[in-house]
Amino acid sequence: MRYYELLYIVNPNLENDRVKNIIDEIGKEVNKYKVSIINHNLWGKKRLAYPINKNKYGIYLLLQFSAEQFDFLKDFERFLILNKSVIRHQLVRLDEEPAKVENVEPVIADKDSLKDEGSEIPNDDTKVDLKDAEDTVETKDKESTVDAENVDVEESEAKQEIKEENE
Amino acid sequence: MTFTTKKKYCYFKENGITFIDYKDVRLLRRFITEQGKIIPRRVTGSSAKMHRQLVRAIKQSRNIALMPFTSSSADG
Repeated sequence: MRYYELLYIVNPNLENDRVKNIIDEIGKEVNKYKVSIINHNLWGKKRLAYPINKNKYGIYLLLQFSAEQFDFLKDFERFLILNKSVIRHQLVRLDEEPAKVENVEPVIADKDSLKDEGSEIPNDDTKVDLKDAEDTVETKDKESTVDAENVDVEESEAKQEIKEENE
Repeated sequence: MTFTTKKKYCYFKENGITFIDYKDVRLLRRFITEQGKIIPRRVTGSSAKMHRQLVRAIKQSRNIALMPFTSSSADG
């Protein structure tokens, strides 16, 4: 038994119904090969780090499944390549069984979803705290400069997001 | 003048991270430069084992357009 994860990007210009069709289509295609789907989640429309086929945005979808046999993967990947609505995909083998995640139905083309991601930084804060506590006075200067850099990066990101919204 | 170098520690060991997920862009972004290049191990202080994982994760992340290959490509 092996676990696989497929993250794929669907053309952002498609309507919600079309996207749902594609989800069904791909779910059916996988089910042909005696696999059990663990997760099939819609991440929603996101900005791509670089344009793919002149698309600036893409609808991300995550499919996690377990399989007993592995020889179908070639055919499955071929199916994805030939599918014109899927503009990019990546199939990765997982070491452990993925946890089941309830799909929190994101609204496609909702810009707030991008914002939500930005606020998800509880981890970062705790890490910084730990560092500060451990540092001696001597090293603190360096640390603070690093922090300042981080802040700069975050600021520029925030600006970018604002720009995007204006567009 | 004395040169005291701060001892660098593996970020992942310190925070108890054993598996780096390519989907965790927030984590990976700490380990690339503004141009989008992967920061070398000698700078970040990551252990060899985790750095290999990290590099793999960043490259996977780039492939699926979660992270940039270069910063300029994000503008185009």
